[in-house]
Formats: sequence, structure tokens, C-alpha cells
Amino acid sequence: MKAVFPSLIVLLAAPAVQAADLSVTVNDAGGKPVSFAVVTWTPKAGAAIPAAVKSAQYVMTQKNVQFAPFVLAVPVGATVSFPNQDRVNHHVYSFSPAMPFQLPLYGKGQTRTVTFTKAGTDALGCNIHDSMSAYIHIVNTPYFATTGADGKIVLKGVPEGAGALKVWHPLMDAPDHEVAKALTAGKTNAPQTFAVKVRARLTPNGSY
Amino acid sequence: MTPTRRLCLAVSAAALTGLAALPCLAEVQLFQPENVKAWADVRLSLSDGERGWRDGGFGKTRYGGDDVGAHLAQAAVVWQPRLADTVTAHIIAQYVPDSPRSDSPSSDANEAFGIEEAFVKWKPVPTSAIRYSLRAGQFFPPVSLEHDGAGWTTTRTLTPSAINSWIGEEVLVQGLEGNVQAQMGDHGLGLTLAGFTKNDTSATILTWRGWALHDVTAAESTALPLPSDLPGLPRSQAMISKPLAEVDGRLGYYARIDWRPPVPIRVDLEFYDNQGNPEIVRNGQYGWATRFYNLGILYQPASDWEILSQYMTGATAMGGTVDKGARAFEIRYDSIYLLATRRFEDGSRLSGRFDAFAVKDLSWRKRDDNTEKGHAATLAWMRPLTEHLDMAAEVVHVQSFRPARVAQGLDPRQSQTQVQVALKIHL
Repeated sequence: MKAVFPSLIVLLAAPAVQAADLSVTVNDAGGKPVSFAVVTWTPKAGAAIPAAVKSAQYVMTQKNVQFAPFVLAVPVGATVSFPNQDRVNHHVYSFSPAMPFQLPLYGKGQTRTVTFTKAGTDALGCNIHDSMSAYIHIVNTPYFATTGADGKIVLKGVPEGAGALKVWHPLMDAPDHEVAKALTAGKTNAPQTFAVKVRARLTPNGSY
Repeated sequence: MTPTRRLCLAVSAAALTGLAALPCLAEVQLFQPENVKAWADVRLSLSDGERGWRDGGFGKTRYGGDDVGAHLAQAAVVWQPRLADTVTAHIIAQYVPDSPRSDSPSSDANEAFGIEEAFVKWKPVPTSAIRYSLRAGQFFPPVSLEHDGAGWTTTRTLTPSAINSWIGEEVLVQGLEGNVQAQMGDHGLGLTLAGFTKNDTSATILTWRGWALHDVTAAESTALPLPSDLPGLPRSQAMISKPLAEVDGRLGYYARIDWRPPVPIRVDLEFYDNQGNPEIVRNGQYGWATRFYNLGILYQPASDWEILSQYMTGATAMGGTVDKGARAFEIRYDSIYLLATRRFEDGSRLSGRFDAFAVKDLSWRKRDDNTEKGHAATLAWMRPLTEHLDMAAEVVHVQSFRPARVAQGLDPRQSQTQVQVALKIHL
């Protein structure tokens, strides 16, 4: 939903440019849908990120001693809030070069914010709970979305012209965990499908 | 680094060396709900077979002999106060009313109350792909894959494997442990090193009683009973063994490496050596030169399935040199288990485990034969009923061969079955 919202704004804000939707499906090698894949369209000429997209609400919750969602895509300049809905305190940090930060201990009902000013990926951790892990993928385009359980997304209002269609997933077995296709977007766009190799991970069990 | 952060680090270091952690007051949190856990674990048990090991027998399960009854297995309080933003303490106090008691007049009465673990941990916030932590105090060396519950408890079965039952009863140390974790590409690597005192008696029970499967864990006050009527026992040996005895003044150590490849598998390898002096006896407690290797593998074939396996091989020796360079009491010990757990949506777990274990006696077998061979099958079902109540049911069946049983007038071959239903009431 978060991904649709900024794209709609793009559609309204740029009526002069011919634009069409681009639907993308991300499957694994066995044909099963891949969730938490970030799909981006970057026009060759570049695309400014509208203020409304930057200032949209981006949320990384801590609940049941887990981050939710596992992957959050945000545009450069976005501010992400980190509400703690657990009974226990968390100490969120990232040492990723894109945006190293730490949010010292805070408890239930409290929240903190971080603004991401550089494209890249932030791997998140909690210094209290080693099993907590999530990713914030910071993109330099207003055309982005994250796949759900069905592995599908629709990028709304993609402008005509050449560009790159990329799929990123934190556990993708590919250089920089990303694959790309060069495409030219037109008045209508054929649906695109990616078959990617995503590794399984150990799922934490929590404690009883 | 801000001045406040630098101050906090200095204070964290001070806390580790035992000084007060008074600044950083904003981060101190002692008695919030998340700092305290407590439970009472009540069992209905039914067992057959030989006399229990806690009554001086060679029994292989927690409740031995023809036992039917209700027991309080353990009442425990885990206190985890936060002393600064990167410093926590961790204390497990337990009450085990039917703890092993010794019938020997020379022994201290075993305390039902005891402190299992008590340590201070410093874990700075990572600023690079290399993370580290330090802990100092009393703890179980990180060997068990099964004890991932709060307060060093198991989460898949009531009864741990033979390997981890032994860790829980005879491998408790007081020392300093450092841990480094690094990310190398898609592979996670970890290194743990520790030096410790105490635990000089480690493997006394393993030698004279043999392997067992039970969930009675050691505390600083624990005294474990030796089987009665052992023919070869030295006269200066007390009829109980104290896992936390310091006999020889030597430091022991252990090392562990961890490997987390980019597949749902985790591998760890440990080496432990208490560097015990086998020729020293103090207050009825001998030093045992005990060492072992342990290999652990955890595999998740699917998100609701887990396969755990550990293999341990070790040796211990005590006493003077007798024949062919072997010491009076010298054994090699091995054990392996394979455990599979299926997790369900409602939080319940169904687990099956197979254990095999053996002891090879290397000296004086005519007088004191500690040879052993056996295997066990365990089936367990655990389920949370409410937020404060867990239920579990388990069957353990053990078959074993141990010639030393003849001294108690028993057949060397014994089989034992124990059925338990558990209710765990917790905060």
C-alpha cells in the first residue's frame, strides 16, 4: 500500500508526461512467488523524488521480538519511524555504510525516527535480541514497490522512455543481491517476470 | 563517539571489573517485568526399571525405580537487570526440592536452593561487521543446542540428550568468556574463548555412574551422588561429587567456533579442557583431567521443521599411573543424538530424539569396570496453553549395558522407561 501511495502522487503531479503501469512478478527458481523483493524502475534520464513521496509515512515496527516488515523500501530523503510495540526494550542499530545509526534502549509505546539520505541498504539489528533482523532498502527513484506473498507488484505511472528495471532482495544469490533488465517503457507495458535465486534463512524460534 | 557514550563504555568496563555502575542512570533498569522471569515446573511421572541415580543407583532417567508420583521438578527465578545500556547481569536461582542427596555422613547436605548461572555481560553496540561481547561469572559453557529457553531450559523436550544432561550436571564453570562474531561475505563466523576456575571434578559422575538423561541442572551448591557399593572407589573419595569444586588451582579453558553459511544451517565446534591435576584430592574431591570435543549442527529443512544433532567425544583421567601408562581411572566417552522437531501454528512442538552413548574404560577393568554402552529414544510434545501456562508430555526409553551394575546385584543389561506430564506455570 505504501508503494502505491507515492506512485499515485507521481501520476497526479506529472500530468504532462505520458505514463503507463508496469506490472512485475518475482518468482524463485522453482516458480514459487518471492515476497520482500524490492522492484524499482529508474528512468535513464533520472527522476526527481516528489516531496510528498519523501514525506510519506514509512514504519519499521518492533513486535513479538521481530522487526516488521522484514524488508522496507524507502526513497532517499525519507524518514522512517521505529515504534516499539513489545513489552520489552529494544536497542536498534545498523552499521551499514548507507546510514549507520543507533537508537539506544526504548520501551513499549515509544518511537524513534531516522532520516535516510543516501541510496543503499541498511541491515538492522537489535543489540538486546540477536535474532531480530530486517532491511531498509533506500532507493533513488519514486518508482518502487515491495512484493507481497504473491510475488507481484504494479509500478504505477511509469513515464515513457528507456530505463532500468531492478529487483533487489536481501537474500538473493546475485551480485549486490540485485538483478536488472534494461527496458524502454511505452504507452502500455508488457508484464515482466523475474526468476531469482533466494536463499532460505534460519527462522528464530523465540524463547518460551 | 559522544562523551556520554565514552563515559558509558568506561562505566561498562568498570561494571565488568566489579565496580559500581552508578552513572548512565537513565539506562539502569532493575525490576521491570522484562527483567524478571519465574516459574514452577510440576511433573506427574511414572517410571520403571532400576534404582534412580539420585538414590545411589545406576538409573538412567530423572525418576528411577518403580516411581509414580507428583513432583515439583524446579522452581526458578531469572533476574536480568540492566546495569547500563550495554551491560546486563543474568542470574538464575533455582529450587529443586528432590535434589540428589548423599547418604554419606562426610558430605555436606545438598542444598535444594542454588544459583545455576550468575554473570555480568558487556555487549557494545556493533559499529562494524565485527561484533563482540564479554561475560564474567558462573555459566554453562555454550555447548547445548537444546537449552535455548529462558534460564537455561530446554524447549523441545523435557529431558535433554545424554550429552546436554551431562553438561547440565557436571560442566558448570566460573570464568571469563569473550566472543567475537564477524560477517565475511555471506558467511557468519564466530569465535568464543574462555578461561575458568572450578569444575575440576568434571566427569567424576560420568565415569562412575555413566551417561544419563535427565533435567536436573547443577548450581553452585550441587552435590551429585555416586552409585553405592562401587568396588574400586578410592577411600579418600567422598560419596558425592561437587561440580564446582576447585581442587588444583589450575585454570581450565574452552574454545568454540561458529559457522553460519548462507543456507539454513548453523555449525559449531567446541573444545573443552579443565586442565585438572589428576593426582590431587581435597575434601574428598579429586581433580580429573577432563577434555572433550563437541560438534553441533542445527538445520531447518522448512520453516516449521528443525533437525538438531550433536556429537561429543572426550576423555578423562584420575589417580596415579597404573598400567600401560594409563591412570587408575581413565575413560574415553562418546555420545551422539539426532533430534527432529515439528512446530505447529498454535505454538506446540512435537519432537523425537535418538541418543547413543558409550564409555570405554582404559585401565583397571578387573577392579573397576566403567565400560558402558546404550541408547535412548525420546518422544515429546510441548504446548503453551495460556500466556502463563505450558503443558508437556514425554516418554523416554533407555537401554544400556554396564558391567559395574553387578556390584549392586543387578543384571548389567537394563532398560528403563519414564513417562512425564508437565505443567509449567510462569510469570
